[in-house]
Amino acid sequence: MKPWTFCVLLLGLFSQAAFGEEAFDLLSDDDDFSFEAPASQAETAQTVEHSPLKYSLDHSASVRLGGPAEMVNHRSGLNLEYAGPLSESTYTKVDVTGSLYWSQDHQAKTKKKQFDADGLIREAWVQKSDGQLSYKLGFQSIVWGDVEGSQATDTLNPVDNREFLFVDFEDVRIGQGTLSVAGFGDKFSFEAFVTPTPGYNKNPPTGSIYAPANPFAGLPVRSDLPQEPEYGFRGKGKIGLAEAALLLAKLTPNQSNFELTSAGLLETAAPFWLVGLNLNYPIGQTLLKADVGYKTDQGINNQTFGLVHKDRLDTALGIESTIEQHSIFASVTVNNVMQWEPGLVGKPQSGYYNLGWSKAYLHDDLTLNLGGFGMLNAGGQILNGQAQYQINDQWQVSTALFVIQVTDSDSPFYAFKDEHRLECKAKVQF
Amino acid sequence: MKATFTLICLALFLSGTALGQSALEVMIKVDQASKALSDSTFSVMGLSTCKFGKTKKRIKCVEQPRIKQIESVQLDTGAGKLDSKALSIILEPASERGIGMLSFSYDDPAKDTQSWLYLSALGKVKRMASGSEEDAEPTAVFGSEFTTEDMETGKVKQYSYKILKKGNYKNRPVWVIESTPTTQRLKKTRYSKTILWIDQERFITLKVQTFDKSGRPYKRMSFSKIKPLAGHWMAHSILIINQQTNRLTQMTMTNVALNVTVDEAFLSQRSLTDFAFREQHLKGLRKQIK
Repeated sequence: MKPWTFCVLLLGLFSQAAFGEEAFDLLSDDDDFSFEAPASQAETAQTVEHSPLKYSLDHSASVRLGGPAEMVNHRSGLNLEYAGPLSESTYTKVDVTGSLYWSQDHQAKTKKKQFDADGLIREAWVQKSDGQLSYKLGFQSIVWGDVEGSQATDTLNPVDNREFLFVDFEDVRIGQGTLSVAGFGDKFSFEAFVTPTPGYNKNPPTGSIYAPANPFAGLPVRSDLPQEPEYGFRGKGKIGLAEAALLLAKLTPNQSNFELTSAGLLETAAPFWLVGLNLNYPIGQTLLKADVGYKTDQGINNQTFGLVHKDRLDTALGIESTIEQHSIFASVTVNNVMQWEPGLVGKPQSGYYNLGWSKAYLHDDLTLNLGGFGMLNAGGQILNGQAQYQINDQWQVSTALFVIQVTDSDSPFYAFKDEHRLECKAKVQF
Repeated sequence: MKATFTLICLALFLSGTALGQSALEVMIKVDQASKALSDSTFSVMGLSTCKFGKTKKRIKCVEQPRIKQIESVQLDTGAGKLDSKALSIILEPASERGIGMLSFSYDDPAKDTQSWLYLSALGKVKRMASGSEEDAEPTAVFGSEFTTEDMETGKVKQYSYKILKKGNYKNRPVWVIESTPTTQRLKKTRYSKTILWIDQERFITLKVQTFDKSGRPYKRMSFSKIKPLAGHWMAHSILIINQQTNRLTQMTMTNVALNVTVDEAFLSQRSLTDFAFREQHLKGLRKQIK
């Protein structure tokens, strides 16, 4: 199927039929109209109980531009979500998704298959509320951080890196089997968690067009990943108008490291401590945000592909504001490697910035977004524009254009270099 | 002769007021009656929006209406109960189901409204910087024809009023009152003038006609299904018609209870993420609907 067939022209302007000045007889109801409500509306108005089940189907296609147009994504998805109370004080949510990759999709092409499929449990948990405490057990995501798009402290869950630059932010986290406890007071709340067997990021498979270059292909790989649990605590409170949270966690890196040894490649992931701070402060219609995370023992390769461990300070600052219904967002994240030494791969200071603008049109049916992402101290930026149109309560279509330029071969995004991509998607939800 | 003169003077005076009440006094009472409907309130509200067509005296949706259903709890707090805390959860459509919004509003114009949004897709509570009510521009309520301006109370003194007429409208005794924003308020409102039909006995609005900044008819609201509820009169259905875009929204109070017992701890960020806690409280509130 041609990708262009999914590209629906979204923009249209409703004509506005303005009424002329009317003369009123103020006490007459002659100028009042009676409204005939459609049957569906009358039925919905009576509905109080709602199905705890919802599902969505989507289909998307993406083409690479800039050279001969090539389809890179062609896939269908099914998402099922059940959310509802189990008893007086317990609640459950199950959110599973399945994807079918058609023959032109790079995921199927990599495996030389006519089609490929996979599934993911995003969330599957039971929550119990008891007095001031709440317990949650099962597959879940824990988001610690105020600055969207920054991993300064929002680094608890692994992420789907297979197409990192193109995955919706809301779909990128991968749930983990976790027990979390939250406590709520008038001015203070806390959250603690333990994840017995932490997971790792999903990376592009070998042979994928988005797999990073591997200079050691063919060498034997031995995995020595730790089996230690992750655990942590976050306390949150208010100081005047500001909301602040302090956090402490023992974590396993979501992205494993590779080290060259005499026996081949060794895959490791050194557990580390995260000490962090989240802060937000509103000034009128502007919100200032900051996340600061100090992480011990971060693995960095040297030029002989050995592995050394250094502490790192990640600082993210963000601002979001609404000006005449235009939403704007900007953030910058700076990563400082402590006690940097010559011979290490990368730079002692790196980082990235995010810029965004969004506005709704046509009675909120059409949303336009523009975004920019760029790397500091390294060559690379991504610009994207997206239009999303809600046709009715069930159907939604969207189109997005990504323009990517990555010149730094050390960048984790180098596999996406010079890719311009047009994406079209249709989704129906019930 | 003296008595006759006094009567004429009194008649002249009363013609400029509403049975001894000035238009402002009437509107203060209407505002108070409206405010009373928001304290300790639990409601399930439907918003149905569509483009409409007209045939003679009937209007009809010409497209599948967009339907939203929202469950809300509101509690007036603070000294004089002039501040408020509210929690709203979207029940329909499915694409927005589960989105929760908590907001704390303050009577003091110097204090900013505080609000938080729980987006199930992001899995976290997001703080919103709303500014003060004075800063806020009118925005559409859940994509409907209602704007935040159409729903607000407590702004009576930011308008001047004039009684245009007295009489009967749809078998109810009414005052027809014209409301004009002060110069300061005019910068914030989308309406240059509003005409209100006020029930003289119940102090509730039966109809509203607004005019845009060019003086053209803009939006018309009709209030129906007016029933007594916990000692107050309340319209259970409000139809708003945008006369310039031919779009309408019908707001229907599917379920509503006033003076419900609400634990203030329920109106906190906990209710956005602790679903078991939230459902436990909502179950108790649903039972209070008679």
